Amino acid sequence: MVVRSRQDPLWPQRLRESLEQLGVASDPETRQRTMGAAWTLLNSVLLRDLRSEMRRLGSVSPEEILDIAADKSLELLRRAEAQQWKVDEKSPAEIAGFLRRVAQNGLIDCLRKSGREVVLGEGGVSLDSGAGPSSDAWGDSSRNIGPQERLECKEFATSLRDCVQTIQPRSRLIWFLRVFLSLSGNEIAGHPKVGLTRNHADMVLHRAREAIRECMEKRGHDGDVPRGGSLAILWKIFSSDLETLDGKHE
Amino acid sequence: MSDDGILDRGRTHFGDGVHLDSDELLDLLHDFAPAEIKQTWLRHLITCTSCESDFRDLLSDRERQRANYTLVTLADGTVALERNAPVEEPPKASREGAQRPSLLGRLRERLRSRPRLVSISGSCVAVAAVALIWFRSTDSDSWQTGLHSLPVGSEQVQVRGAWADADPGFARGLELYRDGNYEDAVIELKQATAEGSRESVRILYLANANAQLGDANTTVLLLESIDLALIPDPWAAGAQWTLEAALRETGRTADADAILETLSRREDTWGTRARERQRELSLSGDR
Repeated sequence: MVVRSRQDPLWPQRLRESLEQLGVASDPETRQRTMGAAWTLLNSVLLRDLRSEMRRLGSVSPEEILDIAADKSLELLRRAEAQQWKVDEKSPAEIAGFLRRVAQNGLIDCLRKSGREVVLGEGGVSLDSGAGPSSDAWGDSSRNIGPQERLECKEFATSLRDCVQTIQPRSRLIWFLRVFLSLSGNEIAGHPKVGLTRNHADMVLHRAREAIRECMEKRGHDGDVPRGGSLAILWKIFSSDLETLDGKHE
Repeated sequence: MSDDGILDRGRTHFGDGVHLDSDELLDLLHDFAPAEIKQTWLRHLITCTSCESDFRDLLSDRERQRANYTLVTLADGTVALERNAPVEEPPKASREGAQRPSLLGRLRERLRSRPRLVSISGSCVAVAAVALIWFRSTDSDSWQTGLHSLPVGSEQVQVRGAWADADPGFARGLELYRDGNYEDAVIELKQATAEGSRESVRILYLANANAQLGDANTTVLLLESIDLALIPDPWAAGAQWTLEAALRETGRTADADAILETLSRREDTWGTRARERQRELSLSGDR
């Protein structure tokens, strides 16, 4: 069994590999694929760091934070390709620290441009409270589940897993993007693995919800709103859908 | 690393027995972890709502970015970001595959070409010749359940005669509708070129045929293109009833509720049905 320590996350190493591969990619397809993977990973890391920094420095709108991450990721990719940002000799901690500073600076720039005060310094007080990640629609997320509730949640999630497997992969992905991840109708329609018109996506979502609710009711459950543990139990299905579905404009 | 990350929240490391940290969640999200470790982490997520919630936030962010942007390589080789947009509605081809303007396009064109649809009240004679009876659909397992469609029994509908001469396609569409061949009725009625007041009737039938086929979006599009205030009952009330169901189906619950509220104020059978429907929705918690 591979044992890893806390000081040894895997993503910096993977990012380094992607960027190295980018430097030697000769055919456009490989280059595009590698770039896409690196950009997505950079985005994930920067968004995590941005949300963390927002607690300290002040918050920006959900759209702004996504834009900052997207733009900074692109900028980093360009710099890496131009050999202006070299990660080959950097440790995972150095890569992570650098990205944290990029996120911090991006956030400060955005706050200043919009005329909002920035509170600098360790442990500084944010101007905007509650700037954490998205609101938790599943109730109190700061607790662990008790044995009885755990059993009920597991039963619910297992039924949900069975029910989602009765509908088409694209339909259940649309359902997942809305019900689990709260993506908007336009975001779902524009998602590379969906690629439908807004109306069509809305229709598919509605039908998927109806089908899943009906299936859940037959199994003695009320509704399709996920409970604790559902995401982990269904993750295998959806990670596979996200990986394997043919994208319409990907 | 991630000493004050959003996901740490003062937790100790999972390896020490409690929680996953944000780096581990990123590794899980991007499938970098070996299978055994991944399984261990997923088992932890099942029992830990806090870690599961953090994982969901990361996943949500990732998919939102993928939904919003596409990385593209420009002609000069530089890489750029393109904002994604939902796919445009495709133009609808005719039955034979010939390219025709989309239904939406034609509707818009017609609406542009005249300030409003011609009132059919002045020409109700033509419509009145069609003895329309709204009836309850027998289809019991779809959103159209309870929909009042436009059955056109041969003894009730005069689809020949003057109409057939003026708009043969329209007449054929009505016949197909009468026979319950909604698919072909839609094709015929789409291609028909009704004039004057018959245009509103054509759209009413076309909307109902689409409703019978379960196409709520098109039903909404068509019915919203008509000024229902200019249409006499029972067509107007029936169209509102259909529109309410189609709006609810497409997720526009507030608009559907508003129509239902309007209908519920009526003193006739439509009002009674609407109030019944409101009660049903109230009991089911959909309203």
